[in-house]
Amino acid sequence: MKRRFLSLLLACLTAASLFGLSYGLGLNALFLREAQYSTEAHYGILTLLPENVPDFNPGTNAYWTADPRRSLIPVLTDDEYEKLNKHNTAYPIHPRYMTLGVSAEYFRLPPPEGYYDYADRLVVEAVVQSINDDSLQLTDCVFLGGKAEALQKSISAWLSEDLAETWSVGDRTEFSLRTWQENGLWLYRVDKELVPKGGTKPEDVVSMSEDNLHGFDLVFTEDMGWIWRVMQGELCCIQGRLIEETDAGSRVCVVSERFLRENDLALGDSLLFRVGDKLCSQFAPIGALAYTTTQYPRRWAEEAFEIIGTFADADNGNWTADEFAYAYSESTVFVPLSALPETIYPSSARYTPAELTLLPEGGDALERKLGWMQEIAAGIGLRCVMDDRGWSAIAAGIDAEEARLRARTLPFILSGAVLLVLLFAGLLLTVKRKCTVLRLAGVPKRRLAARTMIPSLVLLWSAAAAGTAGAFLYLGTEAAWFREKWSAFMQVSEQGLPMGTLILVPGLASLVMSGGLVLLVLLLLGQDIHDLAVRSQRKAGKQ
Amino acid sequence: MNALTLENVSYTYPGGTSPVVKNASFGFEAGTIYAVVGPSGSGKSTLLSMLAGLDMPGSGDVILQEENLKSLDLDKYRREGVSIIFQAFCLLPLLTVRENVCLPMEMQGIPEANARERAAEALVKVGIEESKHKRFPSALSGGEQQRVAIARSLCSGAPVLLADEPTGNLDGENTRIVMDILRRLAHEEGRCVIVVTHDPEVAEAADRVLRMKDGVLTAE
Ligand SMILES: Nc1ncnc2c1ncn2[C@@H]1O[C@H](COP(=O)(O)OP(=O)(O)OP(=O)(O)O)[C@@H](O)[C@H]1O
Ligand SMILES: [Mg+2]
Repeated sequence: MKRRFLSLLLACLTAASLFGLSYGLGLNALFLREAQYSTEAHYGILTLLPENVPDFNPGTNAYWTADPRRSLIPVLTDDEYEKLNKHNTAYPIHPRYMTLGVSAEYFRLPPPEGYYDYADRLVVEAVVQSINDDSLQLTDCVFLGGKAEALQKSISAWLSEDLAETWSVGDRTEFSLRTWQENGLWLYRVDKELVPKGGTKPEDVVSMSEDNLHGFDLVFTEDMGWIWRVMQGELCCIQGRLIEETDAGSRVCVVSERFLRENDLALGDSLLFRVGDKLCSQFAPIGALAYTTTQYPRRWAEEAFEIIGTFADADNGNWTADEFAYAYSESTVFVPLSALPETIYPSSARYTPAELTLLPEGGDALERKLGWMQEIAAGIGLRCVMDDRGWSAIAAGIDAEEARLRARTLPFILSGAVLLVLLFAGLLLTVKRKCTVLRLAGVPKRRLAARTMIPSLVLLWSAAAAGTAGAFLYLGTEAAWFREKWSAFMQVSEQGLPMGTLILVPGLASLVMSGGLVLLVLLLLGQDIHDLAVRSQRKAGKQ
Repeated sequence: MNALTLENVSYTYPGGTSPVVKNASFGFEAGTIYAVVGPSGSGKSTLLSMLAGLDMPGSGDVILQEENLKSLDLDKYRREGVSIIFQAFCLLPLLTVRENVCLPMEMQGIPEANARERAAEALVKVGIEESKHKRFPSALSGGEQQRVAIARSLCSGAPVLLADEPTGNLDGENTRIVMDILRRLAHEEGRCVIVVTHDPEVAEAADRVLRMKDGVLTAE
């Protein structure tokens, strides 16, 4: 009875020590796997911006001659694109595109007071009253299209010198005028579109002007979270949510809070747009698209988008005229990249996105990858800015938790290992003594081998199985709790338990012990029986 | 008929130059207790190991009753012909007294109930009362442990009992008790008991004393 009880006790102790080992190492393995997952799954957001943003003052003459939107936007050659995309498998380029979206129902929002908006244009038929070096006096103006509020009977419009010879006093013809308001007054400037040399038909300029008034800047993006201004907290979500990766495939949009309010719209409402095929840079600092004859869309696709959120940009409405801003205009409508109609987005085409987003993967590789990209980008006249999305905090959390777990599991592992060694030593000692006694008593070798090894092996392996099962179950119940805890500072996975460690550790330990036991028995059986007797006698003599 | 007979037995250790046991001849009778004495290194243990079937003699014969050891299976000889009494060291600490005594019987496939009965009998014979049968050896005195070792040897029912310094670790009182038991086993059960010893008191308790000197065995 006592013997059975003792065997059971020994089996339990063995199981307990193997449990300690398996659980301790298993918990560490679980965390290490999660930490690795979290590291690998973590990505930074690397944005490519123009290297130099010129000082730009819309009030000065420079404004008229240099369109900053075009000079700022890098038109990437295939080669450059290739270079940037060199590490494509690790972090593909995520471009953002902009096209013109024309709404039949809604008007583009007027730009901030005193601010030039390319969208506003007035097309009139008028008589030339007088021509100066830099201005043209028109009279008998008849509205043909564009900004109706800007129509006056007589208009004085600026004129660039090279156009001074185009008309003579008394001519009656169509004029395309860019127009904007300052201190409540409408100002005008003669546009080149209808200069006879341009050859554009008046009805085309009229419809272009109408479209511009109803034109919205449709920005196609995979994830608004990857937009630098969003990362910087300068463009924020006001209602609902911003476009996310998961919106791919759905016809949804995010509009400016001001647009929503001024048009009495609400989340859930739909907007119908004619989406133009002319892609342009979305890096439009002055918040308007200039659809001229060269930029005007040739093909259209009609799409309806449901409003899922609104945004506001810190710079909208309160920038000073001297300040160059990266802000998206309040007439911007963000839509999922997947909503870009197929006719407009042939996959083989290379466009000229203004902001490229790359998502370098692997928290611990971000610095290195930023270095590579900076080098490549500098060669193309771009610069990189990176948001590591809180990697250093995650890394610190991982390190701290690793140390904490090590301290927590060390007692389990150590006590398990020490107990196991003691138990194993005891087992070997017992087997050795038993073998000696029984061999001297004349028990045949084969029977002796079977009778000493089999029960010990059975005990060992059932203990190992029990210990492993225990560790498995225990860790199984704890894993969810731990993952929940870890999710506070890192990303956790849906992976199962670290079966390898849970099974391998006790399995290997049992294998080593079984091997040791078998070896010992074989050694004892192979040993000369006389030596065995003498040795035991000698040992007894010393006691 | 002798229980055990030595005929011109010599033994040289492998690699040894001269024999350690030289031409020993003697007839051990049943119902008698023998003491083998002699200086250290004289060959007593070597002689005993041949009697115990741990070694075959280099030359000469060991004869159990009428059978020559050469024609016997040594395992069987040790199982049924002779029984070696170990010193207490050879008790297994994690088995109870009774389990220790039962162990060799169990290995020989003797049914548990039967083995237990025999063990209890043997233990009572060596003066270990029932109440101590379920204890672990560590809870017994040295003398008691030695008696348990004797009881374990008894159970095989072998006609010859062999012991090398069975009282080596015991005090005077315990030595006397052990010797009494061995005497009784010889005289009452008719066994042949052969004890190797340095202890004059042990030698005195024997029926006959054999002397070893430089490998030569002489009877007194
Ligand atoms: N395994 C061995 N190999 C070689 N020589 C041995 C071996 N065992 C013993 N001897 C030698 O044989 C001789 C007899 O040894 P044995 O052990 O039989 O003496 P003993 O009379 O029992 O001595 P003690 O009283 O000290 O126990 C000694 O000289 C010893 O050195
Ligand atoms: Mg000796």
